[in-house]
Amino acid sequence: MSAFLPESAAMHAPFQMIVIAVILLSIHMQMKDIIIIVMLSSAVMWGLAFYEIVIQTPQLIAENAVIFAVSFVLGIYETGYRDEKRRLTVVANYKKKEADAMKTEIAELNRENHEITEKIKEYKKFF
Amino acid sequence: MKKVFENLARLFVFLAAAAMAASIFVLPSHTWWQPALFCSTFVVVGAYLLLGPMAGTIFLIYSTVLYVLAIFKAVSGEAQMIPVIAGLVILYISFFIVKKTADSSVFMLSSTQDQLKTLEGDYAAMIIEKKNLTGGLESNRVKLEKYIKLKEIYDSLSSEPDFSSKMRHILRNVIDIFHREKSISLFLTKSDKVMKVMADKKDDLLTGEPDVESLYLKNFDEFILRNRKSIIITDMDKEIRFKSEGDDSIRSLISVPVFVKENVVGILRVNSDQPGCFNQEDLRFLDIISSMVGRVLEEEKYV
Repeated sequence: MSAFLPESAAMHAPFQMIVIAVILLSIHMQMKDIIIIVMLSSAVMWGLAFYEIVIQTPQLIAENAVIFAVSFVLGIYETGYRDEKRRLTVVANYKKKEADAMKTEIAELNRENHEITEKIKEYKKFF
Repeated sequence: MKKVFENLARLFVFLAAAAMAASIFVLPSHTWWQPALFCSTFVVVGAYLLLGPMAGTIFLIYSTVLYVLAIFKAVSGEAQMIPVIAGLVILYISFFIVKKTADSSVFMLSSTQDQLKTLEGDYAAMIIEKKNLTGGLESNRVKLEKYIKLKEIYDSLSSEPDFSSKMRHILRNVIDIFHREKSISLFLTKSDKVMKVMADKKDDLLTGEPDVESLYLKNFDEFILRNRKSIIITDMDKEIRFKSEGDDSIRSLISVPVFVKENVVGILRVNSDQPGCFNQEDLRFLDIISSMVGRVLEEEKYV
Protein backbone atom coordinates (compact mmCIF):
# COMPACT_ATOMS: atom_id res chain seq x y z
CA MET A 1 0.00 0.00 0.00
CA SER A 2 2.92 2.31 0.69
CA ALA A 3 3.94 1.78 -2.91
CA PHE A 4 0.54 2.78 -4.30
CA LEU A 5 -0.67 5.52 -1.93
CA PRO A 6 0.82 8.98 -2.51
CA GLU A 7 3.45 9.58 0.18
CA SER A 8 2.56 13.25 0.48
CA ALA A 9 -1.01 12.41 1.48
CA ALA A 10 -0.71 9.16 3.49
CA MET A 11 2.92 9.41 4.66
CA HIS A 12 3.96 5.95 5.89
CA ALA A 13 0.68 5.02 7.57
CA PRO A 14 0.36 1.63 5.79
CA PHE A 15 3.87 0.69 6.93
CA GLN A 16 3.11 1.81 10.48
CA MET A 17 0.21 -0.64 10.56
CA ILE A 18 2.75 -3.43 10.76
CA VAL A 19 2.98 -2.65 14.48
CA ILE A 20 -0.56 -4.10 14.86
CA ALA A 21 0.59 -7.25 13.07
CA VAL A 22 3.62 -7.43 15.37
CA ILE A 23 1.45 -7.25 18.50
CA LEU A 24 -1.04 -9.79 17.14
CA LEU A 25 1.70 -12.21 16.05
CA SER A 26 3.48 -11.90 19.41
CA ILE A 27 0.58 -13.82 20.97
CA HIS A 28 1.27 -16.93 18.90
CA MET A 29 4.83 -16.68 17.61
CA GLN A 30 8.27 -16.41 19.12
CA MET A 31 9.77 -12.95 19.08
CA LYS A 32 12.73 -13.93 16.88
CA ASP A 33 10.30 -14.97 14.09
CA ILE A 34 8.44 -11.69 14.44
CA ILE A 35 11.70 -9.74 14.18
CA ILE A 36 12.45 -11.62 10.93
CA ILE A 37 9.01 -10.66 9.56
CA VAL A 38 9.57 -7.03 10.58
CA MET A 39 13.01 -7.03 8.96
CA LEU A 40 11.56 -8.42 5.74
CA SER A 41 8.81 -5.76 5.71
CA SER A 42 11.40 -3.06 6.42
CA ALA A 43 13.54 -4.43 3.60
CA VAL A 44 10.59 -4.04 1.23
CA MET A 45 10.10 -0.45 2.43
CA TRP A 46 13.78 0.31 2.04
CA GLY A 47 13.61 -1.27 -1.44
CA LEU A 48 10.83 1.21 -2.29
CA ALA A 49 13.06 3.96 -0.91
CA PHE A 50 15.94 2.68 -3.05
CA TYR A 51 13.75 3.01 -6.16
CA GLU A 52 12.62 6.43 -4.90
CA ILE A 53 8.96 5.41 -4.63
CA VAL A 54 9.27 6.42 -0.96
CA ILE A 55 11.42 9.49 -0.53
CA GLN A 56 11.15 10.47 3.11
CA THR A 57 13.78 8.02 4.33
CA PRO A 58 14.86 9.80 7.57
CA GLN A 59 11.31 9.41 8.86
CA LEU A 60 11.43 5.78 7.78
CA ILE A 61 14.42 5.23 10.08
CA ALA A 62 12.47 6.64 13.02
CA GLU A 63 9.43 4.48 12.21
CA ASN A 64 11.61 1.38 11.93
CA ALA A 65 13.12 2.21 15.33
CA VAL A 66 9.63 2.46 16.87
CA ILE A 67 8.53 -0.87 15.39
CA PHE A 68 11.66 -2.61 16.63
CA ALA A 69 11.27 -0.97 20.05
CA VAL A 70 7.69 -2.25 20.29
CA SER A 71 8.87 -5.75 19.29
CA PHE A 72 11.61 -5.53 21.92
CA VAL A 73 9.16 -4.55 24.67
CA LEU A 74 6.76 -7.32 23.66
CA GLY A 75 9.70 -9.73 23.69
CA ILE A 76 10.67 -8.71 27.23
CA TYR A 77 7.07 -9.09 28.40
CA GLU A 78 6.61 -12.46 26.72
CA THR A 79 9.89 -13.76 28.16
CA GLY A 80 8.89 -12.65 31.65
CA TYR A 81 5.43 -14.17 31.28
CA ARG A 82 6.76 -17.49 29.92
CA ASP A 83 9.42 -17.69 32.66
CA GLU A 84 6.82 -17.05 35.35
CA LYS A 85 4.41 -19.56 33.82
CA ARG A 86 7.16 -22.18 33.52
CA ARG A 87 8.17 -21.56 37.15
CA LEU A 88 4.57 -21.89 38.35
CA THR A 89 4.04 -25.00 36.22
CA VAL A 90 7.20 -26.60 37.64
CA VAL A 91 6.06 -25.79 41.19
CA ALA A 92 2.53 -27.05 40.45
CA ASN A 93 3.90 -30.30 38.98
CA TYR A 94 6.13 -30.76 42.01
CA LYS A 95 3.19 -30.13 44.36
CA LYS A 96 1.06 -32.61 42.39
CA LYS A 97 3.76 -35.27 42.68
CA GLU A 98 4.14 -34.49 46.37
CA ALA A 99 0.35 -34.75 46.84
CA ASP A 100 0.26 -38.04 44.91
CA ALA A 101 3.05 -39.45 47.09
CA MET A 102 1.17 -38.31 50.19
CA LYS A 103 -2.06 -39.91 48.90
CA THR A 104 -0.23 -43.20 48.38
CA GLU A 105 1.24 -42.94 51.87
CA ILE A 106 -2.21 -42.22 53.36
CA ALA A 107 -3.73 -45.13 51.41
CA GLU A 108 -0.99 -47.41 52.75
CA LEU A 109 -1.61 -46.19 56.32
CA ASN A 110 -5.36 -46.68 55.86
CA ARG A 111 -4.80 -50.20 54.57
CA GLU A 112 -2.54 -51.04 57.53
CA ASN A 113 -4.99 -49.45 59.95
CA HIS A 114 -7.84 -51.42 58.43
CA GLU A 115 -5.90 -54.68 58.80
CA ILE A 116 -5.10 -53.93 62.45
CA THR A 117 -8.72 -52.94 63.14
CA GLU A 118 -9.93 -56.19 61.60
CA LYS A 119 -7.53 -58.18 63.78
CA ILE A 120 -8.70 -56.27 66.87
CA LYS A 121 -12.32 -57.03 65.93
CA GLU A 122 -11.46 -60.73 65.72
CA TYR A 123 -9.87 -60.63 69.17
CA LYS A 124 -12.83 -58.71 70.57
CA LYS A 125 -15.18 -61.29 69.12
CA PHE A 126 -13.09 -64.02 70.74
CA PHE A 127 -13.19 -62.43 74.16
CA MET B 1 20.80 -8.53 32.27
CA LYS B 2 17.06 -8.86 31.68
CA LYS B 3 16.39 -6.36 34.48
CA VAL B 4 18.79 -3.88 32.88
CA PHE B 5 16.96 -4.14 29.56
CA GLU B 6 13.62 -3.76 31.29
CA ASN B 7 14.77 -0.63 33.12
CA LEU B 8 16.27 0.82 29.93
CA ALA B 9 12.99 0.20 28.11
CA ARG B 10 11.11 1.94 30.95
CA LEU B 11 13.46 4.91 30.68
CA PHE B 12 12.92 5.07 26.90
CA VAL B 13 9.16 5.09 27.42
CA PHE B 14 9.45 8.32 29.42
CA LEU B 15 12.01 9.83 27.02
CA ALA B 16 9.86 9.00 24.00
CA ALA B 17 6.79 10.46 25.72
CA ALA B 18 8.65 13.72 26.36
CA ALA B 19 10.12 13.77 22.83
CA MET B 20 6.65 13.31 21.30
CA ALA B 21 5.29 16.40 23.01
CA ALA B 22 8.34 18.42 22.09
CA SER B 23 8.18 17.34 18.44
CA ILE B 24 4.68 18.77 17.95
CA PHE B 25 5.80 22.22 19.07
CA VAL B 26 9.49 22.29 18.18
CA LEU B 27 9.98 20.36 14.94
CA PRO B 28 9.65 22.72 11.98
CA SER B 29 8.55 20.19 9.36
CA HIS B 30 5.17 18.56 9.64
CA THR B 31 6.66 15.50 7.86
CA TRP B 32 8.30 14.64 11.21
CA TRP B 33 5.13 14.90 13.24
CA GLN B 34 3.72 11.62 12.08
CA PRO B 35 6.87 9.55 12.93
CA ALA B 36 7.11 11.42 16.25
CA LEU B 37 3.46 10.71 17.04
CA PHE B 38 3.99 7.11 15.96
CA CYS B 39 6.32 6.89 18.98
CA SER B 40 3.13 7.01 21.07
CA THR B 41 2.48 3.36 20.09
CA PHE B 42 5.78 2.38 21.72
CA VAL B 43 5.06 4.65 24.70
CA VAL B 44 1.60 3.22 25.36
CA VAL B 45 2.54 -0.43 24.69
CA GLY B 46 5.75 -0.12 26.73
CA ALA B 47 4.02 1.64 29.61
CA TYR B 48 1.18 -0.92 29.68
CA LEU B 49 3.47 -3.94 29.65
CA LEU B 50 6.39 -2.64 31.73
CA LEU B 51 4.77 -0.17 34.13
CA GLY B 52 1.28 -1.61 34.47
CA PRO B 53 -2.25 -1.02 33.13
CA MET B 54 -2.67 2.29 34.97
CA ALA B 55 0.49 3.78 33.44
CA GLY B 56 -0.56 2.48 30.01
CA THR B 57 -3.94 4.19 30.30
CA ILE B 58 -2.39 7.47 31.47
CA PHE B 59 0.01 7.45 28.52
CA LEU B 60 -2.87 6.63 26.17
CA ILE B 61 -4.72 9.74 27.38
CA TYR B 62 -1.49 11.77 27.06
CA SER B 63 -0.95 10.51 23.48
CA THR B 64 -4.58 11.19 22.58
CA VAL B 65 -4.17 14.81 23.70
CA LEU B 66 -1.10 15.13 21.47
CA TYR B 67 -3.00 13.60 18.56
CA VAL B 68 -5.88 16.06 19.13
CA LEU B 69 -3.33 18.90 18.94
CA ALA B 70 -1.99 17.38 15.71
CA ILE B 71 -5.56 17.17 14.35
CA PHE B 72 -6.03 20.88 15.12
CA LYS B 73 -2.80 21.58 13.25
CA ALA B 74 -4.02 19.43 10.35
CA VAL B 75 -7.35 21.33 10.33
CA SER B 76 -5.44 24.59 10.15
CA GLY B 77 -3.58 23.20 7.15
CA GLU B 78 -0.18 22.72 8.75
CA ALA B 79 -0.24 18.92 8.23
CA GLN B 80 -2.04 16.13 6.39
CA MET B 81 -5.15 14.84 8.15
CA ILE B 82 -5.08 11.21 6.93
CA PRO B 83 -1.72 10.16 8.47
CA VAL B 84 -2.68 11.75 11.83
CA ILE B 85 -6.04 9.93 11.95
CA ALA B 86 -4.36 6.69 10.81
CA GLY B 87 -1.75 7.06 13.59
CA LEU B 88 -4.51 7.56 16.18
CA VAL B 89 -6.39 4.49 14.95
CA ILE B 90 -3.18 2.40 15.04
CA LEU B 91 -2.53 3.62 18.59
CA TYR B 92 -5.99 2.60 19.87
CA ILE B 93 -5.99 -0.75 18.09
CA SER B 94 -2.51 -1.50 19.50
CA PHE B 95 -3.64 -0.48 22.99
CA PHE B 96 -6.68 -2.74 23.00
CA ILE B 97 -4.81 -5.74 21.58
CA VAL B 98 -2.04 -5.32 24.17
CA LYS B 99 -4.62 -4.90 26.93
CA LYS B 100 -6.40 -8.10 25.91
CA THR B 101 -3.12 -10.02 25.64
CA ALA B 102 -1.86 -8.76 29.01
CA ASP B 103 -5.22 -9.45 30.68
CA SER B 104 -5.26 -12.98 29.36
CA SER B 105 -1.64 -13.50 30.55
CA VAL B 106 -2.53 -12.21 34.02
CA PHE B 107 -5.61 -14.46 34.07
CA MET B 108 -3.53 -17.49 33.08
CA LEU B 109 -0.93 -16.75 35.75
CA SER B 110 -3.51 -16.12 38.45
CA SER B 111 -5.41 -19.30 37.56
CA THR B 112 -2.13 -21.27 37.85
CA GLN B 113 -1.47 -19.56 41.19
CA ASP B 114 -5.00 -20.46 42.32
CA GLN B 115 -4.34 -24.05 41.30
CA LEU B 116 -1.12 -23.93 43.33
CA LYS B 117 -2.96 -22.57 46.35
CA THR B 118 -5.57 -25.32 46.02
CA LEU B 119 -2.80 -27.92 45.83
CA GLU B 120 -1.10 -26.41 48.88
CA GLY B 121 -4.43 -26.44 50.79
CA ASP B 122 -5.06 -30.06 49.82
CA TYR B 123 -1.54 -30.99 50.83
CA ALA B 124 -1.90 -29.26 54.22
CA ALA B 125 -5.17 -31.17 54.77
CA MET B 126 -3.43 -34.41 53.81
CA ILE B 127 -0.61 -33.71 56.29
CA ILE B 128 -3.20 -33.33 59.06
CA GLU B 129 -4.98 -36.48 57.87
CA LYS B 130 -1.69 -38.39 57.84
CA LYS B 131 -0.83 -37.12 61.32
CA ASN B 132 -4.23 -38.23 62.67
CA LEU B 133 -3.97 -41.51 60.85
CA THR B 134 -0.46 -42.15 62.17
CA GLY B 135 -1.66 -41.39 65.71
CA GLY B 136 -4.65 -43.70 65.28
CA LEU B 137 -2.48 -46.40 63.77
CA GLU B 138 0.01 -46.19 66.61
CA SER B 139 -2.77 -46.46 69.18
CA ASN B 140 -4.31 -49.40 67.28
CA ARG B 141 -0.92 -51.14 67.18
CA VAL B 142 -0.62 -50.77 70.96
CA LYS B 143 -4.18 -52.04 71.33
CA LEU B 144 -3.49 -55.02 69.08
CA GLU B 145 -0.35 -55.82 71.04
CA LYS B 146 -2.44 -55.87 74.23
CA TYR B 147 -4.98 -58.22 72.64
CA ILE B 148 -2.23 -60.53 71.41
CA LYS B 149 -0.76 -60.66 74.94
CA LEU B 150 -4.21 -61.28 76.37
CA LYS B 151 -4.79 -64.11 73.93
CA GLU B 152 -1.43 -65.60 74.89
CA ILE B 153 -2.41 -65.39 78.56
CA TYR B 154 -5.72 -67.06 77.81
CA ASP B 155 -4.11 -69.80 75.73
CA SER B 156 -1.52 -70.54 78.42
CA LEU B 157 -4.24 -70.92 81.06
CA SER B 158 -4.78 -74.58 80.17
CA SER B 159 -1.30 -75.38 81.47
CA GLU B 160 -2.23 -74.10 84.93
CA PRO B 161 -3.33 -76.97 87.19
CA ASP B 162 -5.98 -75.43 89.44
CA PHE B 163 -8.39 -72.55 89.91
CA SER B 164 -6.19 -70.45 92.21
CA SER B 165 -3.10 -70.74 90.01
CA LYS B 166 -5.21 -69.80 86.98
CA MET B 167 -6.42 -66.64 88.72
CA ARG B 168 -2.90 -65.76 89.81
CA HIS B 169 -1.56 -66.46 86.33
CA ILE B 170 -4.12 -64.16 84.73
CA LEU B 171 -3.54 -61.28 87.10
CA ARG B 172 0.25 -61.56 87.18
CA ASN B 173 0.44 -61.46 83.41
CA VAL B 174 -2.35 -58.97 82.83
CA ILE B 175 -0.66 -56.31 84.95
CA ASP B 176 2.24 -56.40 82.49
CA ILE B 177 -0.15 -55.09 79.84
CA PHE B 178 -0.88 -52.00 81.93
CA HIS B 179 2.44 -50.23 82.02
CA ARG B 180 3.97 -48.07 84.77
CA GLU B 181 3.74 -48.85 88.45
CA LYS B 182 0.28 -50.31 88.93
CA SER B 183 -1.31 -53.16 90.74
CA ILE B 184 -4.34 -55.24 89.95
CA SER B 185 -6.80 -56.75 92.41
CA LEU B 186 -9.55 -59.30 91.95
CA PHE B 187 -12.14 -59.62 94.70
CA LEU B 188 -14.43 -62.62 94.49
CA THR B 189 -17.45 -62.22 96.71
CA LYS B 190 -19.28 -65.49 96.35
CA SER B 191 -20.55 -66.30 99.83
CA ASP B 192 -18.79 -69.65 100.18
CA LYS B 193 -15.61 -68.73 98.21
CA VAL B 194 -14.58 -65.23 99.30
CA MET B 195 -11.08 -64.48 98.13
CA LYS B 196 -8.71 -61.74 97.08
CA VAL B 197 -6.03 -61.98 94.40
CA MET B 198 -3.56 -59.11 94.19
CA ALA B 199 -0.70 -58.75 91.76
CA ASP B 200 1.82 -56.19 90.67
CA LYS B 201 4.86 -56.44 88.45
CA LYS B 202 6.92 -58.04 91.20
CA ASP B 203 4.61 -60.48 92.95
CA ASP B 204 1.14 -61.95 93.26
CA LEU B 205 -0.82 -63.08 96.29
CA LEU B 206 -4.03 -65.05 96.69
CA THR B 207 -5.81 -65.03 100.02
CA GLY B 208 -9.02 -66.69 101.03
CA GLU B 209 -11.29 -64.83 103.44
CA PRO B 210 -14.05 -66.14 105.69
CA ASP B 211 -16.62 -63.55 104.51
CA VAL B 212 -17.10 -60.48 102.30
CA GLU B 213 -16.51 -58.05 105.20
CA SER B 214 -12.99 -59.44 105.62
CA LEU B 215 -12.12 -58.17 102.12
CA TYR B 216 -12.30 -54.59 103.46
CA LEU B 217 -13.81 -53.34 100.21
CA LYS B 218 -13.59 -49.63 99.63
CA ASN B 219 -16.58 -47.42 98.91
CA PHE B 220 -16.05 -47.46 95.15
CA ASP B 221 -15.82 -51.29 95.19
CA GLU B 222 -19.15 -51.45 96.96
CA PHE B 223 -20.57 -49.01 94.44
CA ILE B 224 -19.59 -51.38 91.60
CA LEU B 225 -21.02 -54.43 93.31
CA ARG B 226 -24.24 -52.60 94.03
CA ASN B 227 -24.71 -50.86 90.67
CA ARG B 228 -23.00 -53.44 88.40
CA LYS B 229 -21.22 -50.60 86.58
CA SER B 230 -17.61 -49.87 85.68
CA ILE B 231 -15.88 -46.77 87.04
CA ILE B 232 -12.85 -44.72 86.20
CA ILE B 233 -11.30 -42.32 88.70
CA THR B 234 -8.57 -40.11 87.30
CA ASP B 235 -7.65 -38.38 90.55
CA MET B 236 -8.89 -39.50 93.93
CA ASP B 237 -8.04 -36.12 95.49
CA LYS B 238 -10.50 -34.38 93.15
CA GLU B 239 -13.14 -37.10 93.37
CA ILE B 240 -16.45 -35.97 94.81
CA ARG B 241 -18.36 -39.27 94.69
CA PHE B 242 -15.96 -41.26 96.86
CA LYS B 243 -13.89 -40.20 99.83
CA SER B 244 -10.32 -41.47 100.01
CA GLU B 245 -9.29 -43.14 103.21
CA GLY B 246 -6.47 -41.77 105.36
CA ASP B 247 -3.61 -44.12 104.53
CA ASP B 248 -4.84 -44.82 101.01
CA SER B 249 -2.16 -44.71 98.33
CA ILE B 250 -4.65 -45.00 95.46
CA ARG B 251 -4.75 -41.86 93.29
CA SER B 252 -6.32 -43.21 90.11
CA LEU B 253 -8.12 -46.41 89.21
CA ILE B 254 -10.32 -48.34 86.86
CA SER B 255 -12.63 -50.97 88.16
CA VAL B 256 -15.18 -53.30 86.57
CA PRO B 257 -17.62 -55.92 87.85
CA VAL B 258 -16.91 -59.58 87.09
CA PHE B 259 -19.92 -61.43 85.77
CA VAL B 260 -20.59 -65.15 85.60
CA LYS B 261 -23.67 -65.42 83.42
CA GLU B 262 -25.98 -62.75 84.90
CA ASN B 263 -24.47 -62.68 88.39
CA VAL B 264 -21.88 -60.26 89.71
CA VAL B 265 -19.33 -62.44 91.46
CA GLY B 266 -16.58 -59.95 92.06
CA ILE B 267 -14.63 -56.87 91.10
CA LEU B 268 -11.53 -56.41 89.03
CA ARG B 269 -9.59 -53.25 89.79
CA VAL B 270 -6.35 -51.71 88.51
CA ASN B 271 -5.02 -48.81 90.54
CA SER B 272 -2.04 -46.53 90.62
CA ASP B 273 -0.50 -44.15 93.14
CA GLN B 274 -0.22 -41.56 90.34
CA PRO B 275 -3.16 -39.46 89.13
CA GLY B 276 -4.49 -39.59 85.52
CA CYS B 277 -3.03 -42.99 84.67
CA PHE B 278 -6.10 -44.46 82.98
CA ASN B 279 -8.43 -43.64 80.12
CA GLN B 280 -11.62 -45.04 78.65
CA GLU B 281 -9.61 -47.38 76.44
CA ASP B 282 -7.99 -48.94 79.53
CA LEU B 283 -11.43 -49.33 81.07
CA ARG B 284 -12.74 -51.10 77.97
CA PHE B 285 -9.71 -53.36 78.03
CA LEU B 286 -10.20 -54.19 81.69
CA ASP B 287 -13.80 -55.03 80.84
CA ILE B 288 -12.53 -57.60 78.35
CA ILE B 289 -10.17 -59.04 80.99
CA SER B 290 -13.10 -59.23 83.37
CA SER B 291 -15.14 -61.20 80.84
CA MET B 292 -12.14 -63.52 80.38
CA VAL B 293 -11.94 -64.00 84.14
CA GLY B 294 -15.70 -64.60 84.16
CA ARG B 295 -15.29 -67.26 81.49
CA VAL B 296 -12.56 -69.03 83.53
CA LEU B 297 -14.76 -68.85 86.64
CA GLU B 298 -17.60 -70.38 84.65
CA GLU B 299 -15.35 -73.13 83.30
CA GLU B 300 -14.09 -73.82 86.81
CA LYS B 301 -17.73 -73.96 87.98
CA TYR B 302 -17.14 -71.15 90.47
CA VAL B 303 -20.83 -70.36 90.58
